[in-house]
Amino acid sequence: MLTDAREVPPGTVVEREVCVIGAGAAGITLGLELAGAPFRVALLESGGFEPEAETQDLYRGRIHGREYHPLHEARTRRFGGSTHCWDGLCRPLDAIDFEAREWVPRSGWPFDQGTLRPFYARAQRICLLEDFVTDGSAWASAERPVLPLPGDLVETRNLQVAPIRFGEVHRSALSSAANLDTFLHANAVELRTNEAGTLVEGVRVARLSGGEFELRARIVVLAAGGIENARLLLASHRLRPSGLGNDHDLVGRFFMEHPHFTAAAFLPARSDLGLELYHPHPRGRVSNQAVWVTSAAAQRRDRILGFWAVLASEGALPGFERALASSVHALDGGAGAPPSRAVFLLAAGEQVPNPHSRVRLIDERDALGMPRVQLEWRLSELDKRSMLRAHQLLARALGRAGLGRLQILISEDDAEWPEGMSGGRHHMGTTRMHEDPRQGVVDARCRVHGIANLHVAGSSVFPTSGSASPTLTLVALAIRLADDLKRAFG
Amino acid sequence: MIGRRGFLRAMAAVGVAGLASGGGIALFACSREDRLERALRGFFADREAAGEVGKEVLALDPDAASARILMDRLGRRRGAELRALADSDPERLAEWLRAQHREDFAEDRVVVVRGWVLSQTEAWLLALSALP
Repeated sequence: MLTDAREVPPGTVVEREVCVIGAGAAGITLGLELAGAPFRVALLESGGFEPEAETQDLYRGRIHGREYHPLHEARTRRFGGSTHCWDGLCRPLDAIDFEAREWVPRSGWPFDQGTLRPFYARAQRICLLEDFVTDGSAWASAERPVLPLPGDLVETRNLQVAPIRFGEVHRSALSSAANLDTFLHANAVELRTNEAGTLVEGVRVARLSGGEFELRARIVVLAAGGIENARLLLASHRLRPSGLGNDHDLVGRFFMEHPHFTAAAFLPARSDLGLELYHPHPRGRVSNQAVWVTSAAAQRRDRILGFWAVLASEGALPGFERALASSVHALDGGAGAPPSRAVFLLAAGEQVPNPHSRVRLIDERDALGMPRVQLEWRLSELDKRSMLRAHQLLARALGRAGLGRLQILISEDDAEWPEGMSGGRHHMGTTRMHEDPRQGVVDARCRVHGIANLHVAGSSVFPTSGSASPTLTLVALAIRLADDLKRAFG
Repeated sequence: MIGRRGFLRAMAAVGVAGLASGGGIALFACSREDRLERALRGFFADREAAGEVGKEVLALDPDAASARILMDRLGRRRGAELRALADSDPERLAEWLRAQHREDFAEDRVVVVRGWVLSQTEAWLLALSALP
């Protein structure tokens, strides 16, 4: 059922067994998974079905330090959340991404990739993907051959591209679920707890049209996004000045992104080198594209972070590069003509969890009286070195395989990132997962340490980011959480 | 995205890494050396294009602007094999060079010219082409 929260009389108390805050990828997944369960679920969404400037404005915030997307442009506040503005890049995390790597401070998930595997399989269906075959060679064919790169340096992965709008694709399934009430224009502005702060007793819900009501639930799930999850916990400080789940000053810290940039060009060894697998091509109902990732072996050997690169646009060769193309072809080209064009690479990498990279509340307030946030995105020497080294490994792999050469336009200066580097609008880590409450906001089941009935869904729980875009993984985690909730209610 | 501007920027910012210093063993002291040098200089069919790139290699490593030094470097690891190829089928020499070139990439023996990552063997061959 769909309800416009503006029509709920002020002061009303709505009671449900489960309350999910946020109807983006995580919240909608929870709604889908809990539809038909023998208990009632409320799904609170700040926006409506269409964009609303006043609602979107609630996302405004400050950027401190490193340049970043304006916060009200880095995400979407309406039913469907930021799936309204994503590119739909889907790839599971690799096994190494879950491991505690001694060269990556604070790395290690509380479980391995195998734990998430069955949930990834179910997440594929929610994201309308083909069954996932991560090995990029598995979908190669005579028309789209895989390039034989040395696996000790670089591996090939499939990237499924399906930019589905969750709010459109799944709207009907949600609105027809008898046990699920979706409240639009319902802004959660505070989590109200008992005196001890160990139990959420209610969610204070405000409307831009004025007035408030309360939603009481036995279990509350925060699914408002990587910045808003932290904001709501920090802003719920009526009884605890540091906010909820923040006894160890972790909420809002460890903000992670995927630095994206184009700083390399690939010169194929010959003009007819088959790159079809590496450009977007249809695969069932998705667009597939093979990508290159730094192998786990190379990450271990060189003590670097995860990385992936994909072919992007092409460019004609200037004079020097034309001369180089001739010699590259003579060495490696075999039959065929020298290349006449180079292909630029879009690359993205993992970043180290960093406590100084953070979201915090500021004095400024939004139209609902909630404190706005300041984002300070910090990158480290290891982040930069990993990106440079990963490009160098790719260059060596391509050269060793006789496939061509790579031009790398990355300064060796640790502090200097390539021009145009930006985040992928992936907001991760601000309520990180760890079994130890001194190191994580939520436990391995995504429950907030010390609060019996509060859970978090979304990429804010990622302890490390891997290099893959987060959506498929956060959907898998939300499915896992939904299963837990169904078990909790018997 | 990087456009032509990026290329141009890269062309302006010439950098080098991993260039080994000279000083290999003098393996080529007879007429076989001359024949080998001719064969190596003739490796690239488009010598003008190869020379254009080779000039950049030499600009980064002016001490290498000598056929003797470059041939010493090319023969540093398997000099006997290379010397034996002086009078052989050119294709065998080419295969040997290609194997060295790929081994360079495997062993991280690379040279960076205008941002392009080349193998040392490749860079020295290109530099040979640039010599008068």
